[in-house]
Amino acid sequence: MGGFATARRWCARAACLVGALCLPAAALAHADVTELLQRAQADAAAHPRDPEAHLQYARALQLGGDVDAALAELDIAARRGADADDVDAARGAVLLDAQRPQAALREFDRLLQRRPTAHAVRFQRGRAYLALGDAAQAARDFEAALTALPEPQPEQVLLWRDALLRLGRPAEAIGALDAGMARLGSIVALQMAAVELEVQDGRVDAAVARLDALLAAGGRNPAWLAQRGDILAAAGRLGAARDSYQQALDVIDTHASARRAHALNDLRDRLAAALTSPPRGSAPCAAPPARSSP
Amino acid sequence: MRRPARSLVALIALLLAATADAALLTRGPYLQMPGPHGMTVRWRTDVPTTSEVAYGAAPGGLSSTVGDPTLTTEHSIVVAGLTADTTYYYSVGEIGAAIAGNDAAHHFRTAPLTGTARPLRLWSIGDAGFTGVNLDAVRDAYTTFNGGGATDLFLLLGDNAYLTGTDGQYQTAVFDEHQALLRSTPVWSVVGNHEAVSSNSITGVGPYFDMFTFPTAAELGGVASGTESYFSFDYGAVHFIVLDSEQAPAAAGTPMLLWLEADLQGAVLQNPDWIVALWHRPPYSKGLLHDSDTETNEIRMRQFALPLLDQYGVDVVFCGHSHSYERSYLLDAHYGSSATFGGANQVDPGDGNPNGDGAYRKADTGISGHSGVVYVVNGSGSDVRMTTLNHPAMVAGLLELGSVVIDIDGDSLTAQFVNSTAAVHDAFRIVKGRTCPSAPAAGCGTAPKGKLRITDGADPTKDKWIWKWRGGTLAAGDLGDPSAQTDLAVCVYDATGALLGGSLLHATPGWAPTAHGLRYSDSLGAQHGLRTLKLNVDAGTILAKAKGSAAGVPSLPAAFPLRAQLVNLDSGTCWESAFAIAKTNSSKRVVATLP
Repeated sequence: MGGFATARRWCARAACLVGALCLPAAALAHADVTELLQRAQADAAAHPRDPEAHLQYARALQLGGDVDAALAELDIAARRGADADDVDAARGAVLLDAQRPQAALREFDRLLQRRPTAHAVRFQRGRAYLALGDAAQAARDFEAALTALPEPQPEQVLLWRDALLRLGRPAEAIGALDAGMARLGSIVALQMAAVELEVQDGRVDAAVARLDALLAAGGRNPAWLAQRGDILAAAGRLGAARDSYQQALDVIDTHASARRAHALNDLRDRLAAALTSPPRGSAPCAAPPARSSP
Repeated sequence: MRRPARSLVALIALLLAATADAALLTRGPYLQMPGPHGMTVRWRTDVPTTSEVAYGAAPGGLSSTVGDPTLTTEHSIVVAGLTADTTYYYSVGEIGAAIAGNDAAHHFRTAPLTGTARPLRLWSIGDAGFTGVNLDAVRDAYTTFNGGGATDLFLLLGDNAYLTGTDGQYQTAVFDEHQALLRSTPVWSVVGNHEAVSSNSITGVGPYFDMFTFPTAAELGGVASGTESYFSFDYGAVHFIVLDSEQAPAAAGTPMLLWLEADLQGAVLQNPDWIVALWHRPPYSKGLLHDSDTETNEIRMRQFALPLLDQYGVDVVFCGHSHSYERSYLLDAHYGSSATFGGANQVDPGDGNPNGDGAYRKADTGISGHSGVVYVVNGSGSDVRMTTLNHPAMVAGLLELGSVVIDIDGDSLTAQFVNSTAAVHDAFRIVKGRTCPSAPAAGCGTAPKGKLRITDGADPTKDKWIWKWRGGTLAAGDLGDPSAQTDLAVCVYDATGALLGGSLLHATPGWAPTAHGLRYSDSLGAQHGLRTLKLNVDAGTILAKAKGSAAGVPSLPAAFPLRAQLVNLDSGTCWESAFAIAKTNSSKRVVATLP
């Protein structure tokens, strides 16, 4: 475990609270929040000297949308001896969740000056910058955080991509996705996002290579093979496109279960039609990947 | 894998450890990442120590070890190089000194090879985070119900530790509560809304993610998700999918949905016997606390995840969240509110209960899109709350403490709701395939006259068989309505097992009422070569005729005795001619008659 474990322990102690406090208030239904508030309030009242109880009550207040009360409860937690990093991170998260990114930024800045290796907090500061429209600072924080966090998540990498795209830097956005995949492996959500950017920039071979990487890592998925064919067809490379379509068709035809899956059976029909029609450019068989942000 | 502690680091660690007081086990051991060839063993100690798992075929014979010289309180050891579907006994401790195990209670069984079916028993419990007498009763009821048998997997459906899913709450509600089970049964979990109070499933940070080890890189099959919030794994011939309803998709094409579709596409090619999905917030539930018509995440899961599950043939979904038990019909393609639910969404309008109107049946073995999904709300693990329990998609609704036991045996999956007194108050079964039951039905109605003729033609198109059953009692009510709801089977057995025939699942085209009963006609014989099945209630006769290669006539002669049966698969009612001796039994023809 070593350094990895050390990093995770820090997460468990402080950064986890940051992460948790950045969940939207809608995470719980109203009835749940009411119950949570009642119980957390009772727990804090029963254990007035327990800083953890006050942190939990602050979290409940945040989920209930009572920002001022949550901040006040965090002050109480601080007075009861809660870790200053925990409190500052939580305060920043409450403010960010309340659409007050400027105030959140001040909390995150203070914490990061004290603890520059608080990578999870740096990621949240990036979110605050993004909310303020400062995509450049956001991208810098995302990069620093995601290259240091022990276990970055696909959704976080996509946020980094979004910041770079907002800056009009698609090549760097692809670089961010690749950096994420260097940590996580060839993840569908990241690789498909990169394929989309490669296609937009006209880098057909790079897009095809990415699909090939997915096919190598994730099996002969006929939808990916069809998409590979679509990209090649749109580039006018009809022979190669037909090869891809044929491979996709062969995969479906050699798996009876694939023909029983309606989406793949529909794809089979479209592939068969494309292969029997005269060669021509841009005859997409598979829909392009949807782009999304977390 | 053997990794003897030979390095200098290990030696130093050993010396350091030797100077400390003996560590106390404060959590576990518990089992994670069960694969055919490996298992992850985790435990916690009160002080940092090195880590070692010793394992072997029997207690007292733990001849292999794997260790880690790093000092830690959070121990996680991957035991690799194991034999599939094999039981190992183990101990945990610091290098050279076990602190628990090496006894009959500490053992695990590796997973069957992927794609290999063997009977599995799974125990699932939802919203089981309130400690106390309720949770104790549910746990003990399962122990009683299980009768000391093995549990292959333990499935936690979220809200496993109230109120906020902290490490301390998990200690009491999960690790202390289920200690006995956890040391011999791998545990899986989904993120619930109460876990989401202290852990963030988008960033993967928090105590939930610290305490569990789940696959992110397709280590146990499926497609890599890159996150422990949603992932998949294979266990034998079952593909499991875990989704995160705390980040329920607001639109198509989110990272989770992109992964889900890719994973399902991969699973379809692999064609497991079953696909089982798990997440916390139910797409169908009616409660005063939780209502799937009004809660955003439930609506989103229904709108954006369920269409993929339907298309690619997921069989069962287990959720929690509502503190009740609710169980659906076999459903397809319902993504709207409860008001939009209708008969068209019921693949089978029956109750699916083997003790009610019979199991749900899917025509194809393996995976088949839009063949129906059963949704289970299993959220009464430690608490029940007033709910209206009137979602029209649901067959059953119970306000009872309990849990769900899932048995998977080849082409049959059975789930039972076991309440806190170990009584079964609901059950459903899904059976796949059109083949005859493996053994003849018992207690069938007989007739004084009967005839069976099987002909092995010059070529398979000339193969045929015919069965006549005459003079018995054939009540219309016992036959049911095969044109809409009733599953029938016509089967011929010899001394070694099923020989001919198969099932005619409900609504198979070709049924029509006659003046005296029912008639099935198919000139192509698409179902097991059956061209005709006449059921004459007035005369008390059954006539079955099959022809062609689809009739599946085997090499003759046959091994007597032969039994020809018509079985109502839903009710179990059956009719039979039992032929003890042959009139003719050659390589070309078998003829037997009654009397």
